[in-house]
Amino acid sequence: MKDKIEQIKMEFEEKIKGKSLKEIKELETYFIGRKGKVTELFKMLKTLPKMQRREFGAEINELKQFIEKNISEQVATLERKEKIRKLKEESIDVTLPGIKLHTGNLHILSQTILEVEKIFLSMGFDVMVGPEIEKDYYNFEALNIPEFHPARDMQDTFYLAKKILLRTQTSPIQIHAMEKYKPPIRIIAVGRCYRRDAVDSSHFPIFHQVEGLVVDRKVTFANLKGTLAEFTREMFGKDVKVRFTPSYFPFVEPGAETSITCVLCGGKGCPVCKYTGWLEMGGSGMVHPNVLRGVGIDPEVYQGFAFGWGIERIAMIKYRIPDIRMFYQNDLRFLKQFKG
Amino acid sequence: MLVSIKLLKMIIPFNYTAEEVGNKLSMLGLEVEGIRKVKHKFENIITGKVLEIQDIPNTKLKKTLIDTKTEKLQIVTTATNLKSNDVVPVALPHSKVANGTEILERDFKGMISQGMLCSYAEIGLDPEILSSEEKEGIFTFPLDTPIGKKVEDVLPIDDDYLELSLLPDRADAFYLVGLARWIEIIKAREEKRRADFAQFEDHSSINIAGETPIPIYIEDKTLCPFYSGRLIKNVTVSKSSLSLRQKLFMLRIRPINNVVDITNFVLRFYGQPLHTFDADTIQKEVIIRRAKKGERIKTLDEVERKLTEDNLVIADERGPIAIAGVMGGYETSVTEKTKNVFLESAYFSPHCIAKSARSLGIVTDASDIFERGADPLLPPKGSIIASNLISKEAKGIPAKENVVSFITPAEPVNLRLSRVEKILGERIDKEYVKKYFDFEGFDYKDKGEQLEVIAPSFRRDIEKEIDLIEEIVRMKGYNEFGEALIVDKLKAAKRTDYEDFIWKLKDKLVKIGLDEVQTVSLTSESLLNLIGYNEKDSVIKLLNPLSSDMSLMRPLLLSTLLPILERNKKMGNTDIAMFEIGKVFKKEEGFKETDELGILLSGKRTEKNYLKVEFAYSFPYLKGIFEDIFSFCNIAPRYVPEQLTWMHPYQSAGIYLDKERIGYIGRINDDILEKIGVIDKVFYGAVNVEKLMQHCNEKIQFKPFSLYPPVKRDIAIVVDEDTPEEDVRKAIISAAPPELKKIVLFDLYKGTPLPPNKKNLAYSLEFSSVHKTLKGEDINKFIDQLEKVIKEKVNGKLRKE
Repeated sequence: MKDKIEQIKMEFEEKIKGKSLKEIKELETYFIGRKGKVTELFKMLKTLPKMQRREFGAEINELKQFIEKNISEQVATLERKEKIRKLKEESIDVTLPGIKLHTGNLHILSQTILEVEKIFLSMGFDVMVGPEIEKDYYNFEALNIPEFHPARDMQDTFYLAKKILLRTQTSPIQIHAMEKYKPPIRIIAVGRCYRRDAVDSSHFPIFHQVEGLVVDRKVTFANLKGTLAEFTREMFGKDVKVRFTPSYFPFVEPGAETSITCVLCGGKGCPVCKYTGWLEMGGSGMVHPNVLRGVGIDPEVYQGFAFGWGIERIAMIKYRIPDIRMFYQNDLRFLKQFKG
Repeated sequence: MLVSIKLLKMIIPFNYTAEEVGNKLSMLGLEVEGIRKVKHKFENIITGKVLEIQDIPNTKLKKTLIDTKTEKLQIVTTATNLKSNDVVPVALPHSKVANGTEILERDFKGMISQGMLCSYAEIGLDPEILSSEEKEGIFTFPLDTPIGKKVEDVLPIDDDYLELSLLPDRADAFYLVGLARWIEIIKAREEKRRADFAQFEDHSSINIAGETPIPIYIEDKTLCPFYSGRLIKNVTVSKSSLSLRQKLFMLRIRPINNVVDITNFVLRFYGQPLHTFDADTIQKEVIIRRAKKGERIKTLDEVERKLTEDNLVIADERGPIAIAGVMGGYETSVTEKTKNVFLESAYFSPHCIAKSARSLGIVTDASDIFERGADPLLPPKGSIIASNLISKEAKGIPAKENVVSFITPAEPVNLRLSRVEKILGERIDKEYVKKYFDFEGFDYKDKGEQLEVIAPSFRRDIEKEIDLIEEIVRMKGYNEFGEALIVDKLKAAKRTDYEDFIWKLKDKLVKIGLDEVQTVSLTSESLLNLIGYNEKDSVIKLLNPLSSDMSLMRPLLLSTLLPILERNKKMGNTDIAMFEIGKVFKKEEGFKETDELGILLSGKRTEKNYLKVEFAYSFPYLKGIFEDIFSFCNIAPRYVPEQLTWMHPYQSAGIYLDKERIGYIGRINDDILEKIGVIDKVFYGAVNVEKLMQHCNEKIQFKPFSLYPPVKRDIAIVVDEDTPEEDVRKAIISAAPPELKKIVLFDLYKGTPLPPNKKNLAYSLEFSSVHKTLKGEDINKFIDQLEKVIKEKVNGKLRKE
């Protein structure tokens, strides 16, 4: 019996060497399966005398455990190897390009408008809108530009009918605002305007403006300057300054053309600012008493300021866009440059 | 407006460079856009007098003998406009003309030409400012021009010009003396003294002889507060003298004849518009009145014009002889034959002239000044200046003027110092205010807390207190004021709900993966024809379009999106997923503007890739986007097949919310795309944004979801091919228990082994309960019922898995 046990152990040790997973399963059956060699030994045990049974029983058990342990160890090793092989097969070139879905962006005008609105909202300005088709009254007359006034020539107007036109500026929203609300009023309004301008790199019949209007008891020229200076710093950077030059817009007085430090040359002078160091942004001034009186606000009690800057102008300067027509050509190679 | 620095310096000395003057003027509100520097480009061209002209037989050539003071030259020319005694530019041998060509002695078939006579172009003059006579053939100088002089010394060609862009409130700077006054203000401000405007006044007296026999009547003194008429007898109308010609040259006035040149000169130099009539053509009297309806006049430009009551006219016994302040009449104009001149120097109401000029569509230098506000005290001086010039240049003898005047002394304007502080946010000391007014030559009386101010009569922009406050800012300097932020009670600032919604919607669309575009809101007849838009009557037309391609207000976004599609495809941008939110316009209860959302897809969502995965845009993809948007807006509209001229007839649907059509989606008709050179399929949908907005403000509230694993079941249903899928889906849902949480169509099949005209729809159903784990048996009951429901509702057959 002892020899048999020894013999089986040697046989097992011999056979397990270099076997595959499948072969090991077969070995398992061959040695410790229901009809395996070790199982046979147990059966033979019954034929032995009682004394020997215990002795050999323990030895056969030992043999069985030895085989089981070896098999499971061997299986684990082989399985680990197999897993590594499989993973290796799945290896990829991580430098391959990623695959992208087309994503969307807001038009750069919208992005600019959002930024403008954000700054003014943070300064306590409500955002209003107004119609693009306007009555002559709102676009001109109520803004102190009566019929036949020479200032009408400053803005070539598209007409739809007698006294009905496409607004040439967002300033009519000032009148709507003052008709709708009592002072204090602090609003901006952004919108599309139309002028009968011949098309070139800086003129287009359609453009956008941001209009601002503040009316209260103690709103001063200094407040106008402070507000536009703050906006400019937020929009273009803290070193960019605002300059006021006297100008004429019938609905404000004192009226000013507002310029900012040329952001391309830092004010030193370059072709973009025509060597002046300044870039014109739009008009501003103190609301004319005639305009206040026209909407039933007493100019002796209330006063205010207003301004109107060009959105395209802001975007062209901020993002260095060379031609206003690009906004409306909507070439995807243009639009997709402005991620947002 | 171009202003000669040379001429300016003749009336006001200054040491600034042209650029410095430009900058200083700009900072006072007279915008100088640039400096134009002109320098003569020719060399060695002198003035010479034509002594003899002879035709050379059998040629078109002429032989001339030219006196250049130092020598007499024989010069051959082809010109036909020469007369003896004409003074002309002579290019001597080895000279250069303006284009750089060198002139040499030349042999014309045995005839030596010792140089060349020059045209205006050869001396490089701007034709805009030359008389028609000067532009013809050889240029001729005034007859009193000295000979043997360099041309650049005779004509003030070398000069710097300010390119001035004046705003309508600067009527006081539309003429040379006016601009000189502003330079005087700059000097006064720098030297801290009162401006001296007297230096620009003409103090010459006038020698008069006799009366002006033409009486003057003014019908409405508000329209014409001042009128002076003066007879000037025995004039010789001819070319202006050299000294006047030189001034006209610097003022860029095109010469006509000495009398007319003088009126133009006085206008552009002193700022007084004048008019001269041939006195012998005026019948009896001069009446300043409104035109009567139906009256006509042939104006100086030889155009017959119909007048209305908007026009103020100068009339005689027979009818209008000039449109007051705008343009003179042709019949009474001064010509070479005129012997006696009637000189008008008047002041007309700005509003009246603006209305008159605009109603006729004429703009003249005179109307420009009158409508902006001329100096009401200037006409008497203007009459004297012009009369003296006419007597000098045209040898006329002025008579005593006839004057009708309703001019009243100017009212002072009160300025409260408290008001200055209130508007500007800064107290300005009274003594400073006075100083500022001194710089500008204003008169004032100190009344303690107020100043009573009288501005000079040419400052028509000073009418009210606020105008004076503006002058304080102008003189102190716009940039010399401090900046202050508004200090106020805090409140939440916000957008309107509608605007807020639009931004959220845009954000959602961008998240979905669409690019926003912004197109022009103007479209054209041809684009609407291309689309086949048939509600033409409701399209709004511009009365004065800039061009035909932008002549209509777009009635639908597609009309302005198509050119964007076309352009992008041409530029190789093949994958397009874009949207626009913009106004569309319609004639409806007047003019109506509404916001529309348009979404256009073409090409693929994916870039071409090595995994060969692609996602091509299609109708279902477009519909998915719209469903996303609708769910975002808390609405669930229906889709009803419909046919639109610009859409594929069997791939388009109207979108209905209750019974209202709020938009449509589908595929754009290939015929349209073919015409703009697009070969890919294009999918398009549009909805009215205001309709989307109606339910969007419903608050989102948490709904409980199941914490137990769901049960999934796949089913397949065979129905007739033309049964709408929606009906099948609805049938399933109608039979399902509330535990049905999701239904997904995952397969759609036609063809063998199915019988013809049948289709197979395969759905994946997902059930879950918030109360318990569902078991297969819970679902089986429903599946059993479903077979019957499908049979009844859509005549279909359930194929159980």
